[in-house]
Amino acid sequence: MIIDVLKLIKELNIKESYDEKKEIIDSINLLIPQINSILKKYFVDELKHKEKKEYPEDFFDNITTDKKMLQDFIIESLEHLERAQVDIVDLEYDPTNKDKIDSIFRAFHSIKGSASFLGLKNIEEVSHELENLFSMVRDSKLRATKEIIDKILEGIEFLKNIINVITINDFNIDKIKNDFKSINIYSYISEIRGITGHKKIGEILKEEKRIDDEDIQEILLEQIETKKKFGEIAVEKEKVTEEDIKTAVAKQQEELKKFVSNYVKVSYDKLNELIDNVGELVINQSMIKQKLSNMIKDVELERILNSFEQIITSMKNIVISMGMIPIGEIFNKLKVVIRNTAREVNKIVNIQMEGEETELDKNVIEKIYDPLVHIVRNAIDHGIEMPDEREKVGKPRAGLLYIGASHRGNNIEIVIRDDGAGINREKIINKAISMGLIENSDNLSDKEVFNFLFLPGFSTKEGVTNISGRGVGLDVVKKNIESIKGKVEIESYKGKGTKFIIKIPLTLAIIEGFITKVGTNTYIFPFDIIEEIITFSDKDVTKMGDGDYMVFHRGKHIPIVLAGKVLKEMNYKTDIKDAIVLVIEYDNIPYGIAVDSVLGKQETVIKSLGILFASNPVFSGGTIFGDGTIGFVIDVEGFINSVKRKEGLNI
Amino acid sequence: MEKSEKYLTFKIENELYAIPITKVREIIRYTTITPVHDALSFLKGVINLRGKIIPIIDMRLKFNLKESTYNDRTVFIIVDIVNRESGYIYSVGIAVDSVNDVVDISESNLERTPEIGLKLRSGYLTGIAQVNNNMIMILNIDKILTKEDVIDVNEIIKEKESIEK
Repeated sequence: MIIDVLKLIKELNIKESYDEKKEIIDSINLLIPQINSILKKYFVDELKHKEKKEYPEDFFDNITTDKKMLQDFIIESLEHLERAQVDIVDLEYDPTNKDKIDSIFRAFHSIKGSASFLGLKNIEEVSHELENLFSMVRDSKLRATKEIIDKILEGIEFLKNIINVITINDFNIDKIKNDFKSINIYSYISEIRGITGHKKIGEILKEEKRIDDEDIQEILLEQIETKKKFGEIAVEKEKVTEEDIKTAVAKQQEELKKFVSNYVKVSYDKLNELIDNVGELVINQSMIKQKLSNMIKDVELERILNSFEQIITSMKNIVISMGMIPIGEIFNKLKVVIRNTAREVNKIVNIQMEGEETELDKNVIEKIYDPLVHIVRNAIDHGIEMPDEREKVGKPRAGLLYIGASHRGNNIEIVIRDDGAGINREKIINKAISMGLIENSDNLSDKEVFNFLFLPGFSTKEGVTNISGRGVGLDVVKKNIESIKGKVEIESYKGKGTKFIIKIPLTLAIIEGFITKVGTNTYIFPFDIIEEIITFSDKDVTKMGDGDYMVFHRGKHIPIVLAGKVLKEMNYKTDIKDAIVLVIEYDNIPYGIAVDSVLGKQETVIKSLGILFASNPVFSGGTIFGDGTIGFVIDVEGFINSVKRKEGLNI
Repeated sequence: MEKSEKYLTFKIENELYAIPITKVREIIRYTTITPVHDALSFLKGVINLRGKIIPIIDMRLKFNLKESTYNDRTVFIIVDIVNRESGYIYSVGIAVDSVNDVVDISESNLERTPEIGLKLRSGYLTGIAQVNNNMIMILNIDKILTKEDVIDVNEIIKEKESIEK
């Protein structure tokens, strides 16, 4: 009899489906209950085996050997994946876009279908999990959060890698199988299941110490036979009460929710209002501190005021960070763009990124993405040369694209630099002349020349390629950046490459301010732009015809601008001997700005002056001092440009 | 019942103007103005309203009337303006000679602005109304303070200058 059973067991190993196995179990069950328990053990072992995430022996047995079909599958799937990748990147900015969600869902679905048909079970299972995950997004059970999108992008890369194995092994099925076996899909699948919240009821019950491993095995086995739900069987077998199951189910839901919404959604407007209010709180607090400590000298009061200040400072920091997102998020998406673009134009591009952790306002992140994509695509399309060309001029075949973000004073600076051919200055000048913008290139600095590129309709491109030249030029880039009060500059060196520098001001801007008095008002200069502060005696100064001065200082001639004149102040010091001169450097040119007096250095909260000042580029904002008076914060670029404009220079 | 809305009336150069009370955030007494020199002519300066910087517009200058010195009867009406471009609400103070009253004006009493015969360009007004034997001009405050209008005014000034020359 035992031999019979062993035969059956042997047969069992060969038979595939659970149904068949069940048939045998049934017959054995009729034979001897002991053997039943042996079989149970076997089954549980197999289940455990499955849990151990290893491929069953026959997992890859059914892969088709039809090369043509595999080829078609690869082309089709890669296409699907590429499109899904683009869609999913879009989805991050528009998480509820039904079309995109559907299209991504369809991509996974059709890959799953074809893979199953061709016996590519690993691809089938991975895309099945992705489809599952995405169906939850589609049914609004799950929000397409950053975590989920990252996971899916990872999954897409993973699928591409698996698919590439086929091509790499030149459609040799044995080699493919071998490689497939070394790629573990289960760790990724379990990560996805972690998101879809498939924590088994049994696991939860075990955690709750309602049942033990043995019970679980027993129930699992029963489940195989009856196809009932785990909970139902557990209750039937009186392992647990119905109440326990309900709690466990509730727990399961809870787990899911945890993943879905570990966040409180706050409208952006509210957040802005909060940031604004906290900014005002900071000012009021410093006003109170100044007033009170001038009036009352009291140690206890001072202690209270200090802790008050600390609380507000930490509150300010929290509030500012609330609306911030690390820029790495869009950097990751740029990587996809770079890779795809490089492939489109058959160029090799290495990516170097820095400062991914730099945090930017969410609003800014959204607005900066398109300009960055544009610049990056431009850099690859027009900047970086073809590999052969690069080799000829002694550069490595692979071009380098550097993207970095960093804090610079009151700004976030984003730099996009390529090591390509650089911008052809002559070409721009010729174009500018032909457009009637200039008559000749005399005295034009590189910056002035490159600035033409930001003009609408200014394109030196001869042919229009797929990548750029789709009617969106750098003028749009500039406009987008300016809409978030940012600035963009180009530096380019022929043969060496081009550098785009984007500067974006921080939201609740607090700067080290240099407080000066000019005429009746107080003006604040950003401290980090000031090179030095000097006073003059007669001998160093040359007075120019129009009331301006020129000084010779440290071997350089420095034009002096009377701040009062630019700011249209009244009663400011016009004699430079009485004034104090702040030396700044702008565009590599030193300027001296004469102010009446310097009051000191102070942390300054920059407040918006509102739309009525929008046409005034000289101020970047205003501030309120501890005593309640208002000062104006100077925007150096606007200030210098205003001077140039007054001198009739075309800028 | 007939639909009516409450309006705040105020005086500029002995004429009565009104704005819908819903636009008014608050009314404050004269407080120190920090002048802005390099700015639009009717922009008198800015004030510190509880830690917020609020620009002050002088309606006299805006309407090309004689400038008068501010006294303790001068009030600033702080109004909420919605910027059509960004959707943000921002506050602006308007300096007026004095604040008068709050009145109900029913829709039927509101007449369309005649194209001529008024000191202001009709675009600045939503209409005129007769209340207690007084003519009240109802200001279109959003129109007065939008950016487009600001540019518009500048152009008018330029035009004027070129005519004067």
